[in-house]
Amino acid sequence: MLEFQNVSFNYSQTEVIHNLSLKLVNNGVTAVIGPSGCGKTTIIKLIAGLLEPSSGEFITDFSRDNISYVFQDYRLLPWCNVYENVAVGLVRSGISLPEKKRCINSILSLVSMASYADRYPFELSGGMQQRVGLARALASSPELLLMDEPFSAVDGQTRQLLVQEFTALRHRKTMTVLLVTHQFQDVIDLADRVILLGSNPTTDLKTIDVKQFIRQKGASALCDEMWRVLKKDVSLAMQRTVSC
Amino acid sequence: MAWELSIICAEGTLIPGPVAVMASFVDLLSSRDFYHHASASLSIFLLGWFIGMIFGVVAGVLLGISKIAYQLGLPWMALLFPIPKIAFLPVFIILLGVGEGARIATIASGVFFPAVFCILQGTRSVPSNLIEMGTVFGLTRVQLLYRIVIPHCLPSLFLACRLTTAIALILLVSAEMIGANYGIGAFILGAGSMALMDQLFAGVLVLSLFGSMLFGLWAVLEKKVLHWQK
Repeated sequence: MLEFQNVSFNYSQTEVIHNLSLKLVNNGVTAVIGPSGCGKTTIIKLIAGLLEPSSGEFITDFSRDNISYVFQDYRLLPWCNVYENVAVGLVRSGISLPEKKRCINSILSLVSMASYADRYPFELSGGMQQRVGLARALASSPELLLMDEPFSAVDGQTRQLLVQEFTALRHRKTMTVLLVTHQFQDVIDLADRVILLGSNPTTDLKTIDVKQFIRQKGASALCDEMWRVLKKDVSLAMQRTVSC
Repeated sequence: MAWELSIICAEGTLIPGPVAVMASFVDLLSSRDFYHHASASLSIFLLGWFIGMIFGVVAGVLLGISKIAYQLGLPWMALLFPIPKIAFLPVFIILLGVGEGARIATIASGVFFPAVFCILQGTRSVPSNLIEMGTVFGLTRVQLLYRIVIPHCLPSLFLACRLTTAIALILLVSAEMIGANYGIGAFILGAGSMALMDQLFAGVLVLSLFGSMLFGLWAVLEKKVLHWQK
């Protein structure tokens, strides 16, 4: 279980998140979507323990050791090969070396990267690097997986492939996922639930049960509904960007 | 060719031609005395360089990762760095006596400062997103240091190696010209004072070749160690 109760967060003097309350469904994929600069990444960093809330309560029964992270910009160590990069995800696991080896080889096979184990990041495409990032995050079999716009830096076809692989992985490993995205398609393809966020400061505008909504009204209607809710905030965010 | 021709034209000049320099160079390489000079210089060079690099790298990493060390150490670095390190030689002679110790300390002091600044720059330019990634995956401060900070500093370390070997060579010759009986610097000074210009040039050629060899060595090592760079 993970719950934000009236959480606020300030970057120096500016309030980025204001009295935000949200709850993650266990073993489901919760997507968080909102305009650029609405504090989506801040939410994920608060959960990962990289930031501390200024006020409010953050209740969770996930231990820090069971939380893993997939970054938008991969963040692979350039001096480590694929195998060594995945091993970073097992640093705190405390498992023996043979077990670690077995675990890394198994997760690399799952993301179709076993034959690239000795390659270095500069030798891989963006999609391959993101697969390694995904393998690193999944290596320790986390209970909570945080994904920060994981497909935004890859092309459309690679994204489709990664979505398929991630969906297949989800069927094999039970975990709670928080997916931060600005793509409606990510919500349709992956999420069970979506939380729509408004910006300046971040507020919870609406929560939608994605699967139920799609079953009743279709994916296109879901996009329309998300756009209807977010339109005003997206326009405001764009105006802020232009005036900056 | 131009050098040889100009020497032939300028009759009576003290400057030797390349043929005479090469002949003297070959003689030098085959003389036992040369190896005596060379081994004295090499041991001082290596010791001074290693000591300077070790202290420089440790200090650079410390200044880079600790705000307190940075704030306390940087003013001292700024104060001492611009001083020509050969000026420290008399101080080291008083402290360590007229011997190899003073020359080693002079070289080490000359190597120390550029090494500190190169490593400091490398440490401070570690991308914060990699530190963030390491923190998320539970790396301790020590693990962050040897898994992320130090590997990130390797290109800066090679830059430091290149710069400091040249500085160490300059300081070696300068220090050996002040009160040393053996060493390439002492050999060059002795040849100059006896107007044996071909031997002086041969000594300079030895230094130049040694410097080039070191540059080549760093290039080979860098390519091998930093194979993960594009």
